[in-house]
This record gives sequence, structure tokens and C-alpha cells, in this order.
Amino acid sequence: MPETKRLQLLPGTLEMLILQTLIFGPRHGHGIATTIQRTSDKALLVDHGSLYPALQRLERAGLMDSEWGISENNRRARFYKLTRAGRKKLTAETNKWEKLVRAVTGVLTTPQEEEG
Amino acid sequence: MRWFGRPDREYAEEIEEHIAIETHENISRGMTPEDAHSAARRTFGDPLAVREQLGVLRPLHWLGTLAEDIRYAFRSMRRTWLLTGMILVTLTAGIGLNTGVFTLLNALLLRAQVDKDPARFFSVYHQIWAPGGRLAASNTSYADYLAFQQGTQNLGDLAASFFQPRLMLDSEDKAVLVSCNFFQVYGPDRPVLGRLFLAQECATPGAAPVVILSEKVWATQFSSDPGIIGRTITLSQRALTVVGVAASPPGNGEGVIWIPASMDSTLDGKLLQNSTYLTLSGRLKRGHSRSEVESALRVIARQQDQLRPGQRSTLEVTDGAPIHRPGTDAAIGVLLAMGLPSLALLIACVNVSTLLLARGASRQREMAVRISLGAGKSRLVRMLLTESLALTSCAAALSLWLAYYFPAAVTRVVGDDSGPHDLSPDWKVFGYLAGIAFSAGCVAGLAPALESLKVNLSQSLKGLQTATDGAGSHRVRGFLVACQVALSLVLLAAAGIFVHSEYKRWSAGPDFETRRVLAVTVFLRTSKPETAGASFRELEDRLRAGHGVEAASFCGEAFIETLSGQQTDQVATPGARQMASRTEVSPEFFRVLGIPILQGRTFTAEEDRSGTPPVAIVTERFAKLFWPGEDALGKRFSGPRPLHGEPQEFLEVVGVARDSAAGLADDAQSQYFVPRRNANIAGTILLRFAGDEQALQRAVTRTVTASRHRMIGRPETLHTLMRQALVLPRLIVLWDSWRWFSPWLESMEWRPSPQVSARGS
Repeated sequence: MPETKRLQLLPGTLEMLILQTLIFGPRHGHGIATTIQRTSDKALLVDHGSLYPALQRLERAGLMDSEWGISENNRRARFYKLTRAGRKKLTAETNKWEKLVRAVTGVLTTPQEEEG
Repeated sequence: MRWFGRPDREYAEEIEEHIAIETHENISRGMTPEDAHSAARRTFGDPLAVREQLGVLRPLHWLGTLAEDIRYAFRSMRRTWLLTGMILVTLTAGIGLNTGVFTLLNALLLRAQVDKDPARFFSVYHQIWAPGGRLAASNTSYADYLAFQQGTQNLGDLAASFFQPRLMLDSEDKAVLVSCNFFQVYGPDRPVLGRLFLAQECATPGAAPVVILSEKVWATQFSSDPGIIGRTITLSQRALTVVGVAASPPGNGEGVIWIPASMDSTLDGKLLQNSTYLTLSGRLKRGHSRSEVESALRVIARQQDQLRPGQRSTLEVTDGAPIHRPGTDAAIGVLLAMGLPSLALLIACVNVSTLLLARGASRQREMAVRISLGAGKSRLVRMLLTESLALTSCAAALSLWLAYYFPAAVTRVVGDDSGPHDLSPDWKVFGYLAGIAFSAGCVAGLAPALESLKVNLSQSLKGLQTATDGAGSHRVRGFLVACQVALSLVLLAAAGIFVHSEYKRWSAGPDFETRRVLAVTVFLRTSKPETAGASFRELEDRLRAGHGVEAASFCGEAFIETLSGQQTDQVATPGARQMASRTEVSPEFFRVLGIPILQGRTFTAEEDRSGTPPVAIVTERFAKLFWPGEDALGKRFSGPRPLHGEPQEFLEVVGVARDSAAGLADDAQSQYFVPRRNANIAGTILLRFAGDEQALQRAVTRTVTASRHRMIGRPETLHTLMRQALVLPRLIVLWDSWRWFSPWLESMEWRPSPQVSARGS
């Protein structure tokens, strides 16, 4: 997909996406960014730089843990994994998101009522 | 969680690995290693900015950067030592002056003057109001004191004292009548020699002819004789045994002699049982508070009020700091007294700002480099502010020296016998110092810090932008210069007002005779107040016959207090009210002082003897306020509301006297004079004399002593008394000195309350 067609993430959604990518197991920062891009069919643009402050916020909130490990390329990398609180938060956030999408979609797809 | 979060190097490593993985993937997509690395860096963005962002998010990260900033601040201070020196001198002068004045105010106004544990000390302010809301007394009677003491035994010790500045005929020292628990309340706990008073010594009036000397009296009058205990001294024709020597109390340079209150002969005769003259203070027992004492005392005061119909008491318990004395404007005074030093500090800050601005211009390249390396502007402002705060901290440390020595220097200049007043700084001073140093650092550093960040990166890096570039910096410099000029003008105007008012104050002087008038204050030893008038007249006649005496007159003691602008009563006509001071005088009073009667006449001999019909002589100012443009003679006004159901007094004006500005008050007081009441047992006899002052003083002393009446203090000329009225009470002296710092106090008519400087009862 061309760069210009990529979508900017809505504020606050990056944290939810990060938690989602960790649901199948620990990943390092680069892995998280590429997973989001890949699973969104490259529609979502993740600014690699802004990923790390989000990771730090989630870690400080106790939603993930991190530790050093070895990457698939045999390089040292820091791996992040979900905590129990993170899983709960993800479920709650996903539900909220789905409700929001349904509501917005409902409004957008309903034929306009006639006035009067 | 780690207190500081993950260290920066961990983030750096993680980011490097992130870029390395991206590079590796780019290579596997077919890029050359160089292109792959560049593309990876582009995708990531600025690693330094990210690290900075991560650092800011770390808890307590600022502590780490603060330490770095402080180290850097001291390094740059060392590099520009000449500029640093100039800034330090400027700031030390500003901060030091402020702290010095505050230390002085703190020592005199913000804490109780006691020898031990001020936390448990309390002062009682008892005011008695007559019907109609007139303040009848600001002290406590002995009968009330005994009731208060008994009622608050469980809460704390309540002590009473009565400072008689110069009670003793044969001693220049201050005698203080005290309750026997006085030392438990004020400290010191232990005597220097001998013992303190015993509780039973105050149980029966007149039973314990004992006395305790202050160290100063012991040293000056008895050459610190170790065998003083048990010796008998004679005070006011009474033999008293010295039982102890105690440390001089704080704030009293003079010698003090303590006598049990039960030894006052007038108490013995029950004359003073209901006179209000005692000052009460106390010490809380553990676990009790001042508010408990206050409520208990209020209940007792209400009970005491019921014994005297028409009387109403108000009562307040404070921590003893003069600023908390009810009814004083001391808080406004403190603010005003701090006004000029604060202005001076502001000027110092603006000066420092200008200097820092000049230095900022030479550091534009450094700032450009820092910004281009990714340093955030807020981070740079913090760094620059830390530099100016480091400067003010050094100045504050130097100011501490001033805080210790300034108050002592001021008291030395103002009065040479300031005594062991505890002027040392305490936590309040340190808190204040830290506060103003921080504010000064921010005020002086903020504008230059913000200004030095306005750099044109490319030009600065190439060294093309110079210090004089930019309209912004011109504006800031112009603003600072305008500030300096404005503040200096305010200071100059204040100094001008001060010089003018001081000149007026000291050049005017009293416009009546003071140098050739001797005043002798007499307390009659009589148990029959009805004969007091006759006794005074007899004494006046004897004194009038003295060598060199031209005229003699009686004057109620209020006149002396009028001189310093205290003692006022509310008087009224049917249409108006005003405050005026009342003085009881004999007919010759105006001749003795050389105050002309402009209209009407002085009192007649009959009015002097009988006090009837009720007449008054008013001053011009009084007449002008009540009857503007009219003839005051024959007009009537009502005097202050009387105490204890006495009839209301209506006075007819028989004379108008010229205003007598004493030079102590700013303006002539609104005054009125009435014939003396014959029941007065205390009063001042004024003697107009020609010839040798000292010979007359001796003769007067002899005459009064022979008459068996008690003379309070020595006979002095009005001139001396008025000077002492300024110099004697330490607080007046020092409060006066604060007028140096704030001429506005003059216009505010801010003065110590009468309680502080009242002479005797």
C-alpha cells in the first residue's frame, strides 16, 4: 500500500493494539511494530519512535512485563509479555472498541430520516 | 517498581537493537548495508528525542538531571567568575537586607519573649468594656487574676506581673511585682544564686518581704557579691531580703528587681483590688491547648462581670507573639516594613537579569548546539534556571551571615543598651530566606533563560548570529531597564518622603515649654481617696514655695500619654462623635506649659476645688471638629460613657486653648481638659522653674519624701520624659527604626499599642 494511503492511529488505540499483539506470546519492540503493520495489511502506520513511550507507560501501569532475551536474528532484545491485569484491560478495551464501532457504523449506515 | 524506572542505558540499548533488527530486515529485502541502516534510522526517527521522552516519563528522573544541572551550573560559575562575583554581591545585598529585616521583625514580633519552651507559653489579653462600648481597661485586676488562676489550675500555670518602670525612689532599676509562679511561666527555671519565689510567699499579703535581683542589678549595684543572699536592701522605705539572683529576662537591658505581688502596700490596703493593672501570662500543662484555657477564662470572666453590673469583658489567649496581640495592625506593619527591602531585592533581581541576559547572548552557539542535538526547550529552561538558582543559593548562604549580624547592628545603632534580646534567626527566618532566594532565582533567571532559547539554529551554528541581533532581545532589555528605572524612582520617592517626614518630625518639636518644666509623678499614700485632692494641693503649695519655682500645676498622668498619641476617649454632641484625649488639670496648667488660652478663660479656684459645675477647656482642633465656624464657648458635649452606673457627664466649654502638638504625634491631638477629680490618688505635678535643674530635682525629691507619699520615678523635665517616652520602651525604639524602611508607617499612624508603653498604672 502506498505511504499516503496509510492510516494514522486514533489517539489511545496504540496501547490496545500493543496489548493485542502480545496475546500470542512475548515480542520485542520491533516485532510489535511490524506485527501491527502486517496484521493491518500495512494500513496502520506505527511510528517506531512513539512505540517506546507507549511500551513504557503500559509497563509502568503493570499491564505488561519485560525482560531481555534473544531475537530470531540472534540479537539481544527486550521482550514484552502480557500480565494478568493486561489481559483484563485488553478484554475491557476490546469490548468498548467493538461497541463504539457498532454504534458509529449503525449511525453511518442508517438511511437518513425524512424531515417533518 | 524501581524508584528511577529503567536506566537510560537500557533504553539506549533497546533502541539500538530495534534499529539493528530493522537494518537486518532491510538488507534481506535487498538493500545495501548503508542504505539499510539509513532507512532503519529514518523509520525510527530521532533516538535521542525518544530517549529524552522516555527519561521524562521516568519517575523522579528530574532528580538525576537536577544533579547534572547543578554540577554544570557550578562549572559555568567558575568559568565566568567575574560576572558570578558581581551577581553574588548584588543578590547578597538584596537577599541579605530582606532577611536581616525579617529576622528583626521575627525576633520582636513573631515570637514570645520567654526564656523557655515558647510552644507552651500563652498570653492573656483581657479587656474590660464600659457601657456604650468604651474600652475601660486593657489589664486585669488582682481580684480577677485570683479567680482566673483558681479556675485554670488544671490547664496550666497563670502568672501575673506589673511592670513599674521606675517605681523605686532610691533605685534606677525596674521593679516588677509578680505572682510567685512568675518564673515557672517565663523561665528561667533555676536561679543564678539562692532560690526563686515559693508559692506560700504570695499566699498572705505583706507576709514575705523578699526580693529577687536580676543578674544585671546584682552586677551593677552589688558588684556580683556572692554573699548577697540574705542581705537586706531598702526599697521605697521598706526592708526586703534578697533571696535569689536570676538571669535577666529577654528584651530588658535594664536591671530588674522582682517583688512578690502580695508585697504591694496598696494591695494590702485593698485599694487596688479592683483596679486593672496586671498583665497575665501562663504556661500550659501537657495535653492542654490555648483554646481550652481561653474558653475556661471566658467563663470565669463572665462570672466576674456579673459581680459588676454594666461591665463586659472580652478575653483572648495567644501564643505571646506581639503580632498576635488583639487589635494591633502588626501584620500590616510587617508587610509595610518588608516593602522597601523587597523593592530593593526586586531591583537587584532586575540587575542580575540584565547581566544574565548579556551572558545569554554569548551562549547562543551553545544553545544552538544543544537544541540541534535534540535537547527539549523545557529541559534547557530548567538547566538555565538551575544556574540562576545556584547563584541565588550562594547569595542566600552569604545572607545568613547578615541575618545573624544585621539585627544586632540595628539595635546597637538605635539604642545602646538593647539587652539580651534574643535576635537569633529561627526556622521561620530560614524558611523565609529559602523562599525569597528561590523567588529571586526564578525572577532573575526566567527572562534571560527564555530569551537565550530564541536562536536561529543555522546562523548561530555558523557563528553568524550575534548578541545584538533580534528585536525580541531588544524588547526584553528595554523592559528590564524600564523596570530598573521605575523601581529606583519608587525607592527614591520613598526615601524623599522619609527624609521629609523625619525632618518635620525632629525639627518641629513640641510647641510648649518642656525644658523648664519639671514633672514629678506622685502616688498618694492614703486610704481615704476623698482627701486626695487636699493632699495634692498641699503638696503643690509646698513645691511651689521651692527655690526657683515660678508656677506649679496638677496634671493627670494621661497628659504624658497624650504626648505619645495614646489614651483617647469617645466624646459626643447631639450631632457628632469624635475621639479626643482627656486630661485633668489644675487652673495653672496652661501658664506652666505656656499654652495660650485663645478664647474664654482657665478654670477657677472653685472649679478646681469642687469640680463643679462640669466645665471643660478644649483645643482648637477639638472646637473645629465639633463646631466648625462657630464660637465654641458655652457649647456642651458629653464625656465618655461612665463605668459602674455613674451618671453621664455633660461638659460646658469655658475656654479654647491653642493646639499643643508634642512633636511625637504627627498632628496635634484633639484634646480637652477638665478640672481634676478630688478622688485622684495618682497624678503628676508640673513645676515651671528658672535656675538649676539638678538642685530643684533634689529639693523636690526631699519635699515629696518628707510628705511620706510615694514618688514614681525621679523628677524629670518634660523634655527628658518625652525623650524617654521614645527611648525607654524597647519596642517603641525598634518600631521607630523600622520607619527607616517604610515612611508609609508614618501616614498609617502605626504605633505600638498603649499596653506596651504605658507608664505604670
